[in-house]
Amino acid sequence: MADYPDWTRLFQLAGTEITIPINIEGSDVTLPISIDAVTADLEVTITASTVTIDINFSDQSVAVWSVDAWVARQGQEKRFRRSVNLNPGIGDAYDLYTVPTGKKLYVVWYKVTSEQKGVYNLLKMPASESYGETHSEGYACKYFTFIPPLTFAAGESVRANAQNDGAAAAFFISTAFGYELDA
Amino acid sequence: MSLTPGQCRLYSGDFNYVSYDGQPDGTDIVTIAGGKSGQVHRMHVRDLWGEHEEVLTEEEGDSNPPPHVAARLAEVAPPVDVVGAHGGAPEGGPDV
Repeated sequence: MADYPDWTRLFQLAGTEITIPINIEGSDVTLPISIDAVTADLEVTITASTVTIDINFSDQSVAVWSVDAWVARQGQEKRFRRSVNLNPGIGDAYDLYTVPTGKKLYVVWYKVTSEQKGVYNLLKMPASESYGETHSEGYACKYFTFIPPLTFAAGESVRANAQNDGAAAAFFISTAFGYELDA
Repeated sequence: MSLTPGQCRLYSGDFNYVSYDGQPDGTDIVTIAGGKSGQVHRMHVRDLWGEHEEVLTEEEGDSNPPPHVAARLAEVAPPVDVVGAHGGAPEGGPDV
């Protein structure tokens, strides 16, 4: 294949059936595309260290799913909930899940609620990496979104940690949402 | 050590939802739903994820609605398409 370091060409095609396979390799690629058709199928595969995608749809019925909605549609979502009643000064570190062999878990968000002040976080075990750590001074409902998602490899565990620093016993509820795919 | 059906689902990841309700004695009520099986498992577990994990009781139920709700759903369900989902001709009709 010839190398065209500074090469620009406008493609303007009109027809009833058009198929264009595109394979572009370059250090810096810019590709503006305008499609005007009754029905259109567009498959794009991009492998690059930095990707910027700007897509505008108009006058079409288009479904673009967020990752949360898509994994739920595919039945790949995982939701974990832990509820425990803790006395003052008592903590609870609890495994929600251990990823099985051949799988990889992606945690998208984590939420904690309690009626007393306390400390909460989500841990990746056995490394004890801490995420979403919070020190609340009263009734708490904290929500953490992880972009990109937290990843848990096979054998790693998701652990919810909570400690009641208040003056009375209270329920502490930890919820995590994510999805699991083949590794 | 032989795992119960509920434990198998928990450790294999065959679920979409799991809930752990801590009990005053340190045990947990574990509810597992979704996944391939379509069943709901409810387990009372001691030392869950621990070395001495023990399932004290386990119940299994399906995720279908109760009969009275199922009857109402059937009443409002759309009529069966006699042509078929793939556009085949109704019985006795031309096979085009």
